[in-house]
Amino acid sequence: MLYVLGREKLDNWLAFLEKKARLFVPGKEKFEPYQGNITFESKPLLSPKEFFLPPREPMLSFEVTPGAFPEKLSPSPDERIIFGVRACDAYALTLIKKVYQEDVFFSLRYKNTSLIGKACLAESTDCFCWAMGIDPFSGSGLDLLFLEKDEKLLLKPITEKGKTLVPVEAKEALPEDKALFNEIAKNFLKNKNPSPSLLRLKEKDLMTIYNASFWEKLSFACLNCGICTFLCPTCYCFDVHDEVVGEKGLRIRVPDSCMFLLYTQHASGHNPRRSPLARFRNRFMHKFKYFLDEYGEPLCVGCGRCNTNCPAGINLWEIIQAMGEV
Amino acid sequence: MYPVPARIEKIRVETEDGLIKSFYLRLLEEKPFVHKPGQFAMLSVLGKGECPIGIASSPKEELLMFSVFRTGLVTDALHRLSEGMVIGLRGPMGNGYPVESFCGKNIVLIAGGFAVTTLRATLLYLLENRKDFGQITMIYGARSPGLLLYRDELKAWQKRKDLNLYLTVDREVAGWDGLVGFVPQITEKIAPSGKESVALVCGPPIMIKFTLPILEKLGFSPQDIYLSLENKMRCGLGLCRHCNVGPALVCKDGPVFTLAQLKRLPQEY
Repeated sequence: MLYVLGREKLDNWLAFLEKKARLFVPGKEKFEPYQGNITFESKPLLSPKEFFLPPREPMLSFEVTPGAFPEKLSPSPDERIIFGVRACDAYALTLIKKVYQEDVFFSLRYKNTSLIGKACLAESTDCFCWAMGIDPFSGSGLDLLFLEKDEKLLLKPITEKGKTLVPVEAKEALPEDKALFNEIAKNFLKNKNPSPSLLRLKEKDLMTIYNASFWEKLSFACLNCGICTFLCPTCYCFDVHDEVVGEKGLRIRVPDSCMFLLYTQHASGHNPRRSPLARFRNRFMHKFKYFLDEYGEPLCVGCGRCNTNCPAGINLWEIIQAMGEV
Repeated sequence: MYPVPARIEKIRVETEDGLIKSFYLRLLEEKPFVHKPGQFAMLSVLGKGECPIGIASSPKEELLMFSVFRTGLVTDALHRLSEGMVIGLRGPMGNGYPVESFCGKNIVLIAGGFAVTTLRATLLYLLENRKDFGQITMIYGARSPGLLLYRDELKAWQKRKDLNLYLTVDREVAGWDGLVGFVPQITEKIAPSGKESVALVCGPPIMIKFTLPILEKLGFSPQDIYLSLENKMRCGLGLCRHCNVGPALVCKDGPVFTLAQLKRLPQEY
């Protein structure tokens, strides 16, 4: 089912959504609470991952007195709608969900959040979802997908929840609108195929890639700063901290990065990934071999944030190609 | 991710240097705790954190027991607690030893230092079901006699006719009339046959490094040699990824791996 809404009715749609739940729209750096205006120029620096794996996830609250036992905490059950999500960022959540489906925190947040996606009409020079085997028009991970064309918005609900997000003013699409939608989707993927390196990686022996000599050269520039893991919509590692202030404490889950030395360091001082090379290699082996072998697809959606923001100019493609050509 | 309260019923100092204490725990929640030898649990001290510790008690024992080496933030905090206090526990976690598949086989347990803990759980399980297994041999070494754990039990086990127990210390000490020498050399001397046998090896990396070639020489095949790995861990549930050894996770796929499995994995442990 496809619906049509005039572009000038966008504000009405947002007002309708705002009444249903807390509404977030893309800002320059991240998704922000809706305050009456919206832009779609580029995707925010931070993906909506932080709504599902937040910077701080309190798990227990306790008093540091002997015999006291902690109170279990869970995320707020309030409904949220995130508007204007890119297909890549939504797809990333389906990848994380494969691992986190039994996690109470992630599951509750996932259940209470609706994602409204905005289709990308033209390819951008810095991203490559199709190369990772993703069709951005499939709506995977979204509740509703819309595209903006000639003063018209074409709305395609993906899930049952998505149907409730269509405003009453939207009209059922005419056959020509449907044809337009299909044509745009078809044109986008024309001459765009999954990366051949990726296809080859499926067949390669794990230890051959692991022991390859190219890691030394490619990891040389890496500062292990962790910006790639921080911005990555699919990186999902976390650390657990006990924070104590006075007599009160919280046990919180915070994002972590496999780029950091302390990530693997034992209490004894022994460290299985002491060298920067080992940590660099682990990140890409996880994304393009370990995860690929286990789930049949890479742990990357081609959003390009790591390439754009790496201070050392490391490019993902050089690594994927090297891995595929060992 | 929520721990269950557990009361410390008893604390026993195991070694003469005081760095290893055994904690006997009673769960304060009416949830059955069913574990296998070789599994572990996350122990937590509120305000300090959580850490994974191997379960040293057999599944049949009334209290859960953990022997903890004082080394980091959480284990240090644990060592400061006294009997009657309540800590948190999550588990059991990990795969444990596939003890059912050992039926009818000879079993060689090789332990070094305080890595003996989950092998104690395993040995008790084997002795409880003694008729299911062939010969049981245990080789256990420590730097000095005072660093051997479970010394009362060792004495009792030495008297058993259905168990060959070899205790060894690194150097000669006055008052020690047992074996002297490192675990790999003692293993070579005792030379248990690798036929119809499995070996369970737990100890410091240096001991493992020198013991494995000897076991292979004695005819143990890599799929019959079991090792238990330790890595830093946060969740124990396969989410946080701190403990990965290449594609494998110590918390979910391990901590017990066969040598055959480890040969196919990167050495990230």
